[in-house]
Amino acid sequence: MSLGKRQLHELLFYMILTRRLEESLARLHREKRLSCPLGLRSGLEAVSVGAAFVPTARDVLASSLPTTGALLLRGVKPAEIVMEFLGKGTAPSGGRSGIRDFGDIGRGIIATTGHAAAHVSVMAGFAFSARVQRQDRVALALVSDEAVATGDFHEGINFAAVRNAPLVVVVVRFPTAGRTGGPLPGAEVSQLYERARGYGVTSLPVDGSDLLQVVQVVETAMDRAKSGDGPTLIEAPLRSSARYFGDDDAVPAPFGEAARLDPTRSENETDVDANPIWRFERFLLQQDWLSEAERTALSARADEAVSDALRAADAAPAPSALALEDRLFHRAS
Amino acid sequence: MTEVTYLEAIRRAMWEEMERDPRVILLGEDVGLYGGAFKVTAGFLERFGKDRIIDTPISEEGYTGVAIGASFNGLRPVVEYQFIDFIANAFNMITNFAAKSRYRWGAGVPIVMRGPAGGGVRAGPFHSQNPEMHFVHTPGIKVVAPATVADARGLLKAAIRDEDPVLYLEHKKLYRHVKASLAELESAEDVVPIGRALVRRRGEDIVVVTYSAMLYVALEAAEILAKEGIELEVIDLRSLVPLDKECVLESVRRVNKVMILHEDTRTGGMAGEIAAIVAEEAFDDLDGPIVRVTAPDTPVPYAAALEDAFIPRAEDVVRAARRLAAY
Repeated sequence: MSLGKRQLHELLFYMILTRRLEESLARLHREKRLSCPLGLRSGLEAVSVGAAFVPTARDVLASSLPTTGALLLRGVKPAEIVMEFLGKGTAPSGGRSGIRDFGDIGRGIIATTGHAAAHVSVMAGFAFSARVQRQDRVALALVSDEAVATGDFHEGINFAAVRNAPLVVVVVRFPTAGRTGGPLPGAEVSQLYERARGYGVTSLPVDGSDLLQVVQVVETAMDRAKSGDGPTLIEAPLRSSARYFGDDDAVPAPFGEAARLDPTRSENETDVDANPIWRFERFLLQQDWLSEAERTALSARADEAVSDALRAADAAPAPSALALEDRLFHRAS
Repeated sequence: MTEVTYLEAIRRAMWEEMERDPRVILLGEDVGLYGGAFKVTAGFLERFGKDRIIDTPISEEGYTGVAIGASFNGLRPVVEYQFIDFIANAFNMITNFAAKSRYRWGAGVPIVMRGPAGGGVRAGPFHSQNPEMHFVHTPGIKVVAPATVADARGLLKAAIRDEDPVLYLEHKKLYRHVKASLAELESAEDVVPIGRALVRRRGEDIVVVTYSAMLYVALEAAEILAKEGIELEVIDLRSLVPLDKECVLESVRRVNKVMILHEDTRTGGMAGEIAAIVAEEAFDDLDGPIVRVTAPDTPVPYAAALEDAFIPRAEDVVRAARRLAAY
């Protein structure tokens, strides 16, 4: 995929927007305005924005990643996201669900259930149905490494492999070992490749902190799927990721604004490489595809979008209790 | 005279729906090459091809998810569980994905989940269960349990055409034991609306509310009791969700005594729910206690002597009815 300057700037904008939006949600959480756990993590911007950038409007995406970036790329407005977190009546789900489990078929987003991997087999089914209906559609599932331990993951990938379904699964590997179901000591990344081979599925690696690599690899996998070459498993390790804590104004270093470094003059190159936003900014600056003024403008645009979203969500009404039993079944049935 | 079995009625319903609507697909273990564990889908693969008749690995959660995903893309999947006991393996996918999708994000899940339920065939604890209440208790799923040949066909057709997930419980003991003439089937309702109960026998002393294979136990008991001058009214619920409570209440208000009969275990069973509805809405019409005749709260045992004691029999209904009639 050849990207022009405008597209590169848009990708950077969405990564910044994701971060700013999630920092704001963390603040709402600190203010005890969210009744749910925040459940978001930083450091996923390259994977979520990069992967969601590739699918066309006909393709579908489902993500259980703890981030909002992929939703923003699929056209979900920041205000809708904040409204979902606040449980507003004008949120897309009308206060019935949460943003982590957001779905909208019209925008090509299949919901998850809050479970790490339940959507993998659902996406395998969507992909299979696209193949048998001769549709030019691919199903893209984003999961965390903890999903790999589940039966859902296995059953979904296995079905897609057996039925040559156009399914692409991106597994984000977090740097922390030993998380629930995630990579355990002695069971590191290489096992994913081995598992993919066991299913007869192509496996591709990608640096999960490098946006352009993510775009390229996901595009390769989706092209394979559209060509009838079946599913692909992409493994995207992150160099760093942190939970947003609701009791802090800024997210933990090195990702919080308070710890922000100038990527052009950083003394700590490792941190810059680990932070997908800084890394992409640095790349664009080095290539002369981004000026300081443009970067400032993109940042200001993201801040404004988040402020507008917070204002709109604040003003939105709570759901009516009269709607409690609506929409359980199809109206005509 | 050509006879049609309950099993054949199920086969016909799927066949006719697949002929009518190219969106209908069937998936499950051994449904294709083998023709299904009970041969319900014999010949389907040859007629409809491998893109519509999908043999799956043993992965109930996975292929239920596949069905849900396919339904989001316009298909009408019918999922067969080889024995309904194994629906437990798909519990998360059914209760959290299928049941909640429309409510949460407006995405209907028009899938049918079907499989052989019930005991009486000496199949032991894992091939004999009645799991309806797990799903009756989950808002967002419809549950049907046909007892007759006509309903086996008509309710399955309705389920396949429904816009929401439907659990279709077919009783394996009825597969080849319950029959109807072809003429009778052809004159019956082609599509039986979900949520409509039927009074199968009129009576004026006690209403017996039941469903699935227990319909025949109730009717057998009614014959015995009629000779003693006790007339049972027998209601076949046919659908558990939505429940036709008006049909039940109408009979209770007229007959004034009620018994609920089911093969499922007692605690948290359908009988408790119906008893509560009757107590709330027709208490003043009752002339006696609400009586439950059900299986006990145990797994379904294997040995004949134990299973016979587990499954309610006509004599259990007769005994309970005599007591209630004398109240």
